[in-house]
Amino acid sequence: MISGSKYSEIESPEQFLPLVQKVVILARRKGAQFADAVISVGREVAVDVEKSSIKTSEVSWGKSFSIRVFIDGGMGYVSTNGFMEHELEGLVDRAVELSRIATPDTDFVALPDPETAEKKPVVFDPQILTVGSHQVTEWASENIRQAQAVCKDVIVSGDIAFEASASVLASSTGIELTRKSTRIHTGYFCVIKNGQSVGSFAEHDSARFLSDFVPGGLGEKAARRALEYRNPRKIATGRTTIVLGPLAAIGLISALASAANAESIQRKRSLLADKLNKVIAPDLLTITDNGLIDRGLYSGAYDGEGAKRKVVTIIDRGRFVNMLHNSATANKAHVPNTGHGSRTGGISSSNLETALGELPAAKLISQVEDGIYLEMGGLDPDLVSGDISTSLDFAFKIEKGELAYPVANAMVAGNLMEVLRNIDAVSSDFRYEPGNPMPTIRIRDVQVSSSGD
Amino acid sequence: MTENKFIKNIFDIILPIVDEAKRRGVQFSDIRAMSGRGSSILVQDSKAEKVFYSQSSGVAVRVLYGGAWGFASMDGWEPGAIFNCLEEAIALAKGSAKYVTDPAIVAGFDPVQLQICALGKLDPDEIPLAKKQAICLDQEKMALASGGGKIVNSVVSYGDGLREQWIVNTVGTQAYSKISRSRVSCQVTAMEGDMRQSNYQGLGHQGGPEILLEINPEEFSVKAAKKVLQQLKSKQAPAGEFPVIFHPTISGLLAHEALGHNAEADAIWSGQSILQGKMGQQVASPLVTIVDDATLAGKYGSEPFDSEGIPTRRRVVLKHGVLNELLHSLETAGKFKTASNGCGRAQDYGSMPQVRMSNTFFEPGTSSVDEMIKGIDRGIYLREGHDGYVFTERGQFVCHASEAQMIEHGNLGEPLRDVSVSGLILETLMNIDRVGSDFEMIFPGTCGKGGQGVPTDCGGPHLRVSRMVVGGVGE
Repeated sequence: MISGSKYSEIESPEQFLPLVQKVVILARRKGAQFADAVISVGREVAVDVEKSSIKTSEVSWGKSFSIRVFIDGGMGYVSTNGFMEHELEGLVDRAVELSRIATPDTDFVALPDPETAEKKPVVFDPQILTVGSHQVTEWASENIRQAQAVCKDVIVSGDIAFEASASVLASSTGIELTRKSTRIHTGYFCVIKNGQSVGSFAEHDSARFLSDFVPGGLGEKAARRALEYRNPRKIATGRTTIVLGPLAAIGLISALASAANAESIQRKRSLLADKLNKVIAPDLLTITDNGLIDRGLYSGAYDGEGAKRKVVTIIDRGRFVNMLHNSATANKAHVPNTGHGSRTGGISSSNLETALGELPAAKLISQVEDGIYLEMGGLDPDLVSGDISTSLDFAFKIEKGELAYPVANAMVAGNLMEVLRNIDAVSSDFRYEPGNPMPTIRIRDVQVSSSGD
Repeated sequence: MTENKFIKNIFDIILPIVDEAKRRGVQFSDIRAMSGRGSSILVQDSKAEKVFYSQSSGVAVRVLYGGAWGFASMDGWEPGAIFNCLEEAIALAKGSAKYVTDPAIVAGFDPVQLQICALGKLDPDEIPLAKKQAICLDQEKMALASGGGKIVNSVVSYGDGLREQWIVNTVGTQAYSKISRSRVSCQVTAMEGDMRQSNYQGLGHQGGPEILLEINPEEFSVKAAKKVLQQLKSKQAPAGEFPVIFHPTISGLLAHEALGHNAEADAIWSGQSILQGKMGQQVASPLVTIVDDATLAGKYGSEPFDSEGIPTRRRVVLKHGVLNELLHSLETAGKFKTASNGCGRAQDYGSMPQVRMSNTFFEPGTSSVDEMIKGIDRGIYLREGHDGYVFTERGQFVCHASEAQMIEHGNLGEPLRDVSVSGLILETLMNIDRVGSDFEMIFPGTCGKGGQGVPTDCGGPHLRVSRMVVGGVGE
């Protein structure tokens, strides 16, 4: 029923390498000073859950091509899905034409040269290709049943998806890469009603390998938390301590990593633009970007441009010490490339590791006489100004060191730089998603608004 | 090949496959083929260093069997591979049918034969990329000239695209559309001392690159520059509960987030909307009428028919505060025993249709902005919408404004920046005590739901809410 060749394209992407090499040579002949090209193939099997029932079983097959061409530093980028080989020359012509239209960029130096990876993290599990929709459906059903065992009237929605993808990259500087990766993602959102009161919560899990994936238990966890979120109460406006649980703290850590984007800093639109080598947080905060962890969710030996990934400490004991670079920003700053580039010109972080503190999360909470525990949803800072003004959507009031009751219709405001200065603890324990340990973080003296007394 | 022959060719590929689905005894099946192309330009700091072009084509086969949906999609439209998609979709539906506890059905409908083009005044190719680039560079130059030397970064981006869609189903629909959409945005960042602020202005429409020729800089790049300078002088809002006036750019967000998502019938069917069981009831102030209309010419969220081949129309969701009509796809219409009103939209061929909004807005009332301001002793005037979100099951929403102003003793006061307001939906809609006589709908964007994004717009008149929680600092 399913053509075997589609699987072989994912298992053996090197079969496309001669084609992308040919395209790059063609681009050079047509005037490109630098060029690279990628062919990607992929398959996803997914099941959607709605109203505590299986709703849809899906499969999708993808096959795409893209080329970027540089002339005097100006970039022309062309991409297509569902291509035929005979169309590629026309797309090369278009990329060359676009790069001639683009403004020359005197800061552009070159595309990355071939490099030996510091490490080749394992991110492909061939077993994922053997997972069929029947198995995926069974796992989704199990989570529904487990949620219903907690509360028979729970409303469960969610999805589970298994993806396998592969690609080849060739560049005019001599890079030839083949990559394969797999990924599993599942999440369930549970709603439990009690008269007019509604409690809800979401749980999710991700993995690269089937053996790292626990198919059951998420529905039950989400349902148990949803029960706890019924009957929320309004709180008073004022300044208080906020404890960010792992799912909220990772938002703060990710925001800092995004602000460390070298292009945003070079273009002066990041809140960290003039903060390199300055202390921006207490010495208990250390954040490292590590894309070389085996089975890590965001791991890879090379970035999107084919540059080798490096482990980068972004914040070292409170001091902002390193930006994340792609080839353009590294060349512009005359510093080594950290390998965080994408081919469309962006920069993104990979796995983020936060150094752990000395006390477990439970102890951090128990030390708070009066405060807020934010379990999910972040502070959502503006990455230009650092301004914060957002809602506390899944939060509990802390009274005398204990989670007292869920909070209704409350907001938090301030500035990220102030919030960072006010961090007073990082937990010793953490929630783990492959490659990404997520501790709890406590912040004192944060402004909260609500309509309660 | 002529355009008409090309259109017919695609129908000739997919019609035999939907006929085969019918022969296999499925409850319902449809096939969507899509083809798209678009280009974009990114101007940053006075250079257009990157120019993009993309094209795509693909097919999705959807099958309903035993109350379960099976869905298979692929890039390209090779007939043999599409047939394989049908086989896969049937197998997926059959395989999951025994797990279904809330069987899907589709509402009855009359099949349509449609061929519709909504292309605006100009085809994307009628203006050369180099000219589009020059216009973007000019807009950026005007922003910089208006920035008093305080602008440290400026970005103007432009993108346009054409999308063709073919839909056939087992009921007999054969619908084809060709739609163009264009967007242009300007973001400037300015600094003064330690303060760094940015402002974003975006324009978008269903139409071609004429949007570039029609730009009024005072409403776009110059506006972004002037506003960011204002933000540098602005404070953060005070914390607490205040009366709030919404400018049309953010009253549209309120319509979309607070009401629109709750009126999507899939949320109501699954028990995840606070509007469940409230049809015909007063859920908002009698001053409030909220409409979702996909037929507005040139508006960013408009579609002639939805991704299920159902012609779209105007839907009056709230009429004088009474819940009047839900937004329906074929499936939710079937479950609610009514007809689809054309809200089954999919992001692309790789995505299943979901119940979605289009252009959502408050109808104008009779009040003036001055009257609204005069009646407030201490409050907040939200001047410019930025983003928002909602938890439909709990009836709680957030709207974020990039610019606001204090109201003190009936007069406009200090400028404010980056203000979010949060509210309980039913409480907020009941607390709307003034609806303005003005109207604007200039908030084109992409609405996200279930991992899919679709083009939408929203708007309305000025509104006043008697009290809302404001995420601010200090007294």
